[in-house]
Amino acid sequence: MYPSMYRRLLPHWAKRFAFFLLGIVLLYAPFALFTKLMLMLSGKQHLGDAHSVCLRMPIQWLAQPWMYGTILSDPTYMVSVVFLPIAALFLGPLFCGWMCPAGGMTEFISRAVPPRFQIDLSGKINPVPVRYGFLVGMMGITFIGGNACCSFCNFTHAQNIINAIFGDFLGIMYLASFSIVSFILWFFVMGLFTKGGRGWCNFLCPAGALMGLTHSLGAKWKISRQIKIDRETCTDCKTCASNCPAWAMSRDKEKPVEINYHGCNTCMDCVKACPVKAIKYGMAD
Amino acid sequence: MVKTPFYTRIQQIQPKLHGLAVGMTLGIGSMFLGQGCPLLGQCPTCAACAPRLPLLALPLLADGVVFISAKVMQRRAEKLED
Repeated sequence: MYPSMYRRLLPHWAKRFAFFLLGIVLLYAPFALFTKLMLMLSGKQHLGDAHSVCLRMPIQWLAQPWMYGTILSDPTYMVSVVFLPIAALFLGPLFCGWMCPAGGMTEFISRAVPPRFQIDLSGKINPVPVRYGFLVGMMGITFIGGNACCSFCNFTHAQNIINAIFGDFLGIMYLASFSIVSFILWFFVMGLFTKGGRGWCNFLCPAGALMGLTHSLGAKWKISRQIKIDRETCTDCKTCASNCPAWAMSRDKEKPVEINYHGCNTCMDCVKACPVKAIKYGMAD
Repeated sequence: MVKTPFYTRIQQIQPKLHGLAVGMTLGIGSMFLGQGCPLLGQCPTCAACAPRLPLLALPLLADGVVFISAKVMQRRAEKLED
C-alpha cells in the first residue's frame, strides 16, 4: 500500500517531525514560546499565537512603504520579511522544510494517505511561477484597497486546529464562513490528497516564495548552503525527484535531474532517498 | 552569432508566464476571501466586491495578449521567409 521508500525515509521523517513539533511549540498557542519571548522583549501587545509572527501581512506591507516603520518597530513582524529570507539566503529555506507548522501538518498527515489516492503533480507542473505570481498579486492588491489575510491563510487554519486540540473551538467556528474554501483547498485538495502534502506551500505560500527567491540568489552567488548533486556518482534514477515534496527536481527522462532552487525547501528528503548518496547539503562547489 | 527572435524567446518562457498569470489571478482572488470583504471573510452576498471582479481577468488578459502577439509575430516572420 505504501512505497518501500517510506521505510528508508522514516527515521529522517521522525527527525523532521520533532522539528515540526518544535515549530508548533515556538510559534503556536497555547505555547508560542518564541512569540511570547519576542513580545516580552519588545514590550508589544499582541496575541501570543500564530497571528503575531504573521507570514502574510508584513509581506503585503513590503508594497506599502508607509508601513515600513511598523515592520521595523516590531521584531515579530520582521520574522517573515527580514529574518527568514536572510536565513534562506545563507542556509536555504530550512524553516519551510523543517519547522513550518502549517506545511508540516499537511505533509505529515498526507504520508498516512496511500499514494494511489493522491494527485501526483511533481515534474508535471512547475509551481514556482504560480507562487511568484501569487506573491505579486497578493502584494499588488494593496494598491486597490484589498487585503488577503487570515481567512485565506493556512497558518491560521493550522493554528485553529491546534487550538481545537487544546479545547478552544472558537477558530473552528470560522469554518462556517467563506474560509471553508481555503481550508478545504489547503488541508484536503492540496494537502492530504496531493503527493508530498505541500501543494499549498508549492503554489500559494508567499513566505515560501520570498525565501525561495533569496535562496535561489544565494545558490546563484554561491554563498548559500544548498542541496547539491554529485554528477559523477548520480545514476539519474530520479528517485530524488519522485520523493521531493516541493516538486523542485526535474523528472524529464531525457535530461539529468536538476534542482530548482526557487522551489526547494531544503527538507533533505532527496538526500536520504538517494540510493547512491549522490545528493548532499552543503556549500556550492 | 544568430540572434534568437523575440517571439521565440517569449515562447520559451510562455509556460512560466502562464503560471505567473494564474498565480497573480489567485493572488488578486485571495482579496475576495480576506478582509477586503466587509464581513471579514464571511460572504454576505452583498455584491460589494462586484466592481472589483474584473480585476481578476487582468493578469490572464495580459498573458493572452503576450501569447497571441508572439504567435502573430511568428506567423509574420514565417511569411516573410516564404
